Amino acid sequence: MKKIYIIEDNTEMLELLSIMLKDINCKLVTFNSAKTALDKLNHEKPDLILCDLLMPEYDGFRFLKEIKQDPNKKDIKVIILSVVADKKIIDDLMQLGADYFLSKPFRVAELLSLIKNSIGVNVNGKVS
Amino acid sequence: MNTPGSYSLNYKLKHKNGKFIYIEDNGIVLTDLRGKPVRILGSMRDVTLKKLAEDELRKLSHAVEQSQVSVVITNKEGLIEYVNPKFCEVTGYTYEETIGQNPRILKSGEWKSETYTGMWSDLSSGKSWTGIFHNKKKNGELFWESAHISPIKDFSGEITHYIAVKEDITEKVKNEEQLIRYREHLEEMVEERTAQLNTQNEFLRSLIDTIPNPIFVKDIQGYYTDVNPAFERYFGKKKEDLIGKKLDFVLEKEEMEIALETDAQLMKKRGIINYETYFTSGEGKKMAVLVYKASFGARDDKPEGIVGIFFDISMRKELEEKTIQALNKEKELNEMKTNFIAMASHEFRTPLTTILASADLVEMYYNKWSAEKIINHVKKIQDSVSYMTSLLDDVLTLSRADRGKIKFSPSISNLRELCSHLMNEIQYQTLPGHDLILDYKLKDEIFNIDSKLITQILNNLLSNAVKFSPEGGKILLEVTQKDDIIQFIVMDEGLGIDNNDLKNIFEPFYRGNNVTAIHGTGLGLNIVKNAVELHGGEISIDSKLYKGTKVTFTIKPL
Repeated sequence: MKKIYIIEDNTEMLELLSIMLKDINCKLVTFNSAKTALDKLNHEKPDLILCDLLMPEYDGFRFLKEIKQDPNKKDIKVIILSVVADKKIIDDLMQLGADYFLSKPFRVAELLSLIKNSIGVNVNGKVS
Repeated sequence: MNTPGSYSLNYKLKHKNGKFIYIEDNGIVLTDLRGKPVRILGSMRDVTLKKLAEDELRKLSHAVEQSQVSVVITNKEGLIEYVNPKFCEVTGYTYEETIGQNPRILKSGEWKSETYTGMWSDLSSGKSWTGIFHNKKKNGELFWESAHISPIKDFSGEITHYIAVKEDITEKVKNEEQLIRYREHLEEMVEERTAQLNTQNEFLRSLIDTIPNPIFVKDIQGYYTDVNPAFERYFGKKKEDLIGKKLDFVLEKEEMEIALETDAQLMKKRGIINYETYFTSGEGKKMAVLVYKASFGARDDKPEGIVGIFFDISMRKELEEKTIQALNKEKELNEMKTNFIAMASHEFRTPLTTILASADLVEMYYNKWSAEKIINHVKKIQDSVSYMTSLLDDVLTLSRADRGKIKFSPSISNLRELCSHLMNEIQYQTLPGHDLILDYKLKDEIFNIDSKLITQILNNLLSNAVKFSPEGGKILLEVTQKDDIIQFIVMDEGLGIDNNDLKNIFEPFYRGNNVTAIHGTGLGLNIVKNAVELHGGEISIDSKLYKGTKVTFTIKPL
């Protein structure tokens, strides 16, 4: 079973994301800070990471850099989710190695099809 | 002796005393009846004196003949008896032509008859006369001569002759005439130049006097030597009082520095200086002026004084300041717009994300989920909408405050109740997370205050304290009074505000660097500041990064 990390400091959003992904055939691990996720990454390797960008202390940029510069971790797919809509910032994220960027607000179906494209899992839920 | 007759001889003999004497020797030869000379009868006379007088006369005559001045001798009747060769040379008449003539033959008619009358009256009374004639030569040419005429008297004092000694002074007179003409020409030129200068002076004077800008002239020591009416009007002082005074007579102390400095420069070396400064007018109005000053003088390296003019540029300055203000305002607005867009994209997208996610999920699972689960998502949508509404309210409050639409409207209110009610409400919203303490130190509770404004202020400050503090953090609201001013302190143990952010923290949409990941509009403190000022108070913030923040504000109850 494929493993997906979800990193999001907003508890409500974290909960919503879990609900959105609960029907896909994957193991979900949620973190409310990038730092704790990074600690966990030293022991296991997920297939995909969904990560918020703006978080206190340790933000999405720093996290992405850390992953993509580590040869052991750089093949992990990363989808950045953010309210940021600045093209320059999105370009920077892609430069850093982000696989996808999803701008908030987004349709649930959009997120599900991105996950399917990136790690090829079957999405059981109805996607309209 | 052999021939009869007489003789006469002159000869020189040596006298016994060694000197020569002249002898005139006359004699006759006496004959007998037959005519035979028998003896000589004669006499010898010492004629040395006569001989010497004759010699003298010959010398004098020679002198007269050779003289370079004309000599004319007339008889008592004025008829010419003698003229010397110089006379003939000057007048062109021969000796023969003049003898027996009256000297009137020389009259040119250019001379006034009084001259002659005066001359004759002097001469006939035995005095000599000196004067000038303008006479005519034989060829008609006019000439000038100076004459000295004196009568010659015989032993009895009777006038027998007149002698005139005359000198041709035509050249002299000509030179003199030329000199006179030259002098007259010079005088004319001077007169003309003076008239020109007068016109020029008048022109300059009327220019200086009618020019609406103050003009001044001062000497090398800095004393005013001239000012125009505009200068008098500007400083409200009379010209006669200004002349001989220095700068300190018209300028304020702080206005003198640049004036003195530039004066010193100009007095050292000829030049022009202009600068902007302030001159307080006679009416006490401090006005921006543009001063042009120049040193003047006959020599480049030696200024003799300073002349200056100045222009009132207060209108221009005002306009410049207004333009700068307008530009700043525009810049502020632009910054605000940028900040607003950044805020809006963050703060509106987050609740929108929740709304869209919940709506999508309800659509996907409405036939699988329990009613409770569905209601839960509907509630999320409603909460997000109300959060967005409050965001919009803040923006509207700001725009209303900006347009001066928010009014101070005080009413009799219970301040203690207002505070404790607010504390309870905040405590309820934060659940058990924070420790909220109210320290109400006033003995009175009822004040004439705008409870709406105070609620707005405290609500924002306390919400901030909660939002930016860790769970379990202590939050204190202290209310004290000093004279007629009420002071509030809201203190937390939260994130604090960076020093760099403090100066901008009251700007709309401005947010501290350490809170970008925490939701907020950046409007709260701006709204608070407006409200405090509407209530006649002041606000200040004291903060230490990651230690806590203390906000102090005052209000004036009516």
